[in-house]
Amino acid sequence: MFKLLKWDLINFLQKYYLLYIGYAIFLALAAVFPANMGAASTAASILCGFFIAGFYFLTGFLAVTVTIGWTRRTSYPLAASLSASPRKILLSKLIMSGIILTSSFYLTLIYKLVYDRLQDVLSGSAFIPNAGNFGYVPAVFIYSIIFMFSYLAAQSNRLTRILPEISAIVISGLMYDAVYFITTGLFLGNRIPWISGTSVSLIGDNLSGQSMIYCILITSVILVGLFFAGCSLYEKHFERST
Amino acid sequence: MSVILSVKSGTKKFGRKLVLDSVDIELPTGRITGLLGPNGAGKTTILNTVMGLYRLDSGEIHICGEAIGYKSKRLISYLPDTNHLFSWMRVSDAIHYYSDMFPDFDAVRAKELCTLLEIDERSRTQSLSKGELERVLIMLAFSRKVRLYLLDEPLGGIDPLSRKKIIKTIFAQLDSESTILISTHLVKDVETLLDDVLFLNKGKVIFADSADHIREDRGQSIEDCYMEVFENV
Repeated sequence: MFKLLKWDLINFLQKYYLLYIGYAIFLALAAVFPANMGAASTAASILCGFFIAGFYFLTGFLAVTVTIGWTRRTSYPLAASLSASPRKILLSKLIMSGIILTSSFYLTLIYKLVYDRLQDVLSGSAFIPNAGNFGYVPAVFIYSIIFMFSYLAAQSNRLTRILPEISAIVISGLMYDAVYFITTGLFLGNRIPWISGTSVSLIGDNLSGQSMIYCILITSVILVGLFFAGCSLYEKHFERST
Repeated sequence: MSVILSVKSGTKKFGRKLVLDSVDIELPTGRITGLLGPNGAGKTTILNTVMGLYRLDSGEIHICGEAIGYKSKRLISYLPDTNHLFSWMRVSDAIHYYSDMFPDFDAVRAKELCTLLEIDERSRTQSLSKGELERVLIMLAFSRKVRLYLLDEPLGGIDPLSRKKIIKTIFAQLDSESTILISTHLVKDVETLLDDVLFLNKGKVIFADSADHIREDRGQSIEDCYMEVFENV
């Protein structure tokens, strides 16, 4: 399991190290140019703003696709020749997704702390994530699990295997909504969205502590169920498109 | 001799196209078997199905008596017909990866094979020529100690010198406990290697015999026999 994770991490860094080098460069740029240095500061702010916005969304995208991307690559026969259990293989991919999201959270936070010094010269044209945006971490992670299951399901059926990506997007969209309605509608009966867009709101005015626990429990059970169902599909039915 | 690989009534369709049509194969231990046939005959599909990359629509596959699944993969060393290594890898990274991921991988044997096959461990796998890459993949596949070696077109596009070295490596690996299945359409190249042959056409096994029987009783080379069988299909 740790060896799987080690090589998943090495593989990821070998592919996307430029993204992190870019992050370091733009972080340095934001730190080097103090506020009110005129045109240079403004230019640096805009550039950094665009980069960090791209970094923020790209890492979110990678966190989702890392769960299934390995089955689409030319290296798939190597991954498929391992005698590791599907549970270990898929868990390793989900841990990778968690690592990417968590690192994205902290790196964007660090950038924000550095960047705040320059905020007064910000032109306002670029998107800069703030603390309110970080709720996307659990939401994207939940979506990663749902998307992984959806893709494995799409590749396990002869009909959906023709267009697995589109099928997976449709299935995962429906399932994400289903999780939302089950948790909010069935168990809480409140009007506050639990999963709202790309963020998660765990605390609402009319949520009691007990209903929150039910909400978290039932969601966890659904996600664990999807994980094991995904493992079973991968072991018995999954087949890459020809 | 116990049976290493058994495929019973293996049938597989891609869409409406029947690619495997009730295929029956039994491979005993200690033999090198050639899975021979023209392009599109279903050779790679059989190997991919044994590896679990494809699923049979009907039929069964057993490895050493075990139904195929993730556990049976520990018994198989697979050499696909494409470069399946991560694109960023150097040869040394690939050895390290195999060492970590396959408990039966023998790093000492890998070093020996690197020397024998003249492989530079510092080379990037993406920059290797077809022949060099094939030698690297052979080195990795045969540094594992398993029961079944599946080789998909191991000699395709290889120069005669590399071919000789690869054939020597394949021969050296065989013992009474293991079996090698080589899929190829280059019949002449593997002529000297094979103990048994299976001719595959349009997803069907149309001929199966031992190489000795073909040579001694039929008085033919495997290539002549192949030509005769396929001309009469």
